Amino acid sequence: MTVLALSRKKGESVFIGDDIEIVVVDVKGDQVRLGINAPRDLVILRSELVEAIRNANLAAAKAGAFPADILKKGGTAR
Amino acid sequence: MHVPMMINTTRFGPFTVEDEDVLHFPKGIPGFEGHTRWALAGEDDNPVKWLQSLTDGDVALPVVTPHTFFPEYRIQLERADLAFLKCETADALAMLVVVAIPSDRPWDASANLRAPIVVNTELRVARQIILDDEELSLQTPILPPELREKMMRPAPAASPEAAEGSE
Repeated sequence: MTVLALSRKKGESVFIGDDIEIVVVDVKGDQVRLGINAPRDLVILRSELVEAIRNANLAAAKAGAFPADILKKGGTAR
Repeated sequence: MHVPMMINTTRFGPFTVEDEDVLHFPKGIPGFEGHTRWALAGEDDNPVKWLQSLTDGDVALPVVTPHTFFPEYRIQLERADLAFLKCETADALAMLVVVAIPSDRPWDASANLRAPIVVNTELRVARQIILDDEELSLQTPILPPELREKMMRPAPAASPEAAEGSE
């Protein structure tokens, strides 16, 4: 993986491959609004979400076990 | 001559897996990207099972089938997801969700409903899919509030009946 950095103004865009276009819709202060024209089935996620899922998995792997009798003790599961 | 795979694991000790029981995660699992082979383990009487990494014996992820705790849970898969899982229809699919179990407060266990693990049970290909649905929480409590509250109270080392009766 390499990083390509290029400058774009509001209203300008870049293409990634043939069918993904990323448009700079607006720039306000330190916030950039992006428009993404891409095939509907392409998954586009905020990187914070991907990072949160990763952290949730790492935390779950470190966690304790679930006592089997917890449900019996407390009553029935929902 | 066929030899089942053996791996030493932290949670289960020496762990033997037949080829046909291996779950293949071609992309790994977020946080465990290089781990492409996993197997499901656990006890019959415990709804929480474990996805044991076959790449690293120290890594096991607690999971549940979502319908055990969330009967209403439905997800919408994109065509690309089905293609990834080499799946024509949803018939061969099964779901697991990762649960986080605080070791000192197991009643606060929560499930990550935002990113279910979807398995093609025929080909045993799987992937954790991140859903584009803000409503789904990464930390959805698996037990209802009444039950959690009941279990939170320090109960003396008594029989379950006695613990339940104390109000």
